[in-house]
Amino acid sequence: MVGLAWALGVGLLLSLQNLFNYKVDQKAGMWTTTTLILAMGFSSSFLLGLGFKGANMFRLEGVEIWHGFSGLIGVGIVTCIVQGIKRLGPTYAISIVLCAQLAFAMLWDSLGLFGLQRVPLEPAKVAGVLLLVAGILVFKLGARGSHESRSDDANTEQMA
Amino acid sequence: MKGLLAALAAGFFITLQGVANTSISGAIGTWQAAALTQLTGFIGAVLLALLMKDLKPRRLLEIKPIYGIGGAFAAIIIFGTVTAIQHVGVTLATSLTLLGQLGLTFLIEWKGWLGVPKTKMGPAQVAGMAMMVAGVILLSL
Repeated sequence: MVGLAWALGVGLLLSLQNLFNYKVDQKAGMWTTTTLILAMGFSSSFLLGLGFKGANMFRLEGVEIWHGFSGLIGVGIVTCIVQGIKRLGPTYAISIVLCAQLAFAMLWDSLGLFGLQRVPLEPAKVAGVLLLVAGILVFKLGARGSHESRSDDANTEQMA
Repeated sequence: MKGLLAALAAGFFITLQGVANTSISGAIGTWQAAALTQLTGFIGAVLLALLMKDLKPRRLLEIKPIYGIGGAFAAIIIFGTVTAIQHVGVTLATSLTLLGQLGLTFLIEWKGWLGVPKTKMGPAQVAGMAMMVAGVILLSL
């Protein structure tokens, strides 16, 4: 239940964050926006961490080299989404991004890489994911009352 | 083809990010992981922005301050993602996050909240939402 509530809450926050980021992006351009987002992300994480963990925030034992590089994944995400949208248009690009997220999530659960607990693939789970993918495609590609809106930009800077 | 690969790679990286953050959190703690990855991401973004000659902080003065804080949600987003993955696995965590994200965006556009132009929603969007909810329920059984 805790996990479900957090996951849903993260989705709500991402929706707002994408909207805010989009407004910054319109004025400031992509890379300035990405830089601001990450500066804000670092400040909030550091301050909240300092509040909850105190001086433990400065204890660096256990840190491995790859941990630092993993922060660059966010930069890769922005680059790939922008390239995808440029070549496919926002609707198709974002639909593929969302479905790929689910497919790779399932792959990760079933392989249990990176020291995560392995979650076996069951037929009901596969059916659930397929239903979700179908839902995303119907939602994204189905006719709307008026022409394409900017929701297609949702995700552009997700978790960058 | 390149566009398809880029979009697939983006999806892969988004999932990888959640998994990597969970793994790092196990080693050094969740807040430490969030701060560390955002810091190195920030350094990477500054370097890339300079490389692209697209670092123009003055332009940020033109935006409403409230929109500028969007990035600060990352602390809660990372903490929440890691907690969700630890509790229910990557697939269910990703599914519910997508549902919440598309659902709220749907509401905001439909109602025209936060200065977003009102967008009409068709039966396809309602049906798509319903299918996603059904999918999540099936996953969490």
